[in-house]
Amino acid sequence: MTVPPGASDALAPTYRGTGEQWPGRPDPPRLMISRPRWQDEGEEPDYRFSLANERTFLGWLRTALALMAGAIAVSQLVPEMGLAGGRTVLGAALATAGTALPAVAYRRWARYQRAMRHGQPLPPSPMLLVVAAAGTVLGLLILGLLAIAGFR
Amino acid sequence: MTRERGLQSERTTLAWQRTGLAGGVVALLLLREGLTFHAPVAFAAAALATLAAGIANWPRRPDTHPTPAARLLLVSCLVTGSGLGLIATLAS
Repeated sequence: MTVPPGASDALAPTYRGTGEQWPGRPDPPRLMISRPRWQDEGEEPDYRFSLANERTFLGWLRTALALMAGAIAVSQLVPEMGLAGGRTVLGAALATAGTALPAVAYRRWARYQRAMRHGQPLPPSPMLLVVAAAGTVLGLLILGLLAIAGFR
Repeated sequence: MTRERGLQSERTTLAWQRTGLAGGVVALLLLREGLTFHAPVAFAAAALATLAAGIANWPRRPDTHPTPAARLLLVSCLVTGSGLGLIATLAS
């Protein structure tokens, strides 16, 4: 589509959706949420890798939801253990982990996607180690509470 | 663009649906929490979890396109918001 010389801004809507550049006008503001800028960098990776990255993100999201479900189950179903407030602390710890995970999972997905677009090796992620350590600590906490309840 | 001939897209769709189901279960548990303890924050958290479950279950394009970043970000934010509501409910 050619732009007539001296055309007024009133014609701008004509060019919407045509994919053509309106000469002399800046690019329209883009919504960073809808399409992050890094998605225009590098090359589109093999779709199988992108979909695998997406499924891993969803796996982390389900882990977060499972932690939240565990927190609710602890608060509703588990009887008060040895220490007063122990149940609340346990539930809050699970809920906090479940709340933090989705943000970390999104950031991890974006980092991996960006690395794939640039053909770089995937950056190391401490998420597995952190979640495993947190699970171990929570397990020890539960054992401790049960032990205290058993001695009373 | 080549159409997806393998099972990668189907596996990804199923992963979204599993996530939606998990979100629905959490929404029901939060609803029960709200009804049991008369906690309005739990109802709000349940609403967010329901919204996340609905978005996760919304059909994705059955081809080779990865899901837009906005959908991933939105679901993440909704689950995080739901979790914050849960923490507030447990703390109250």
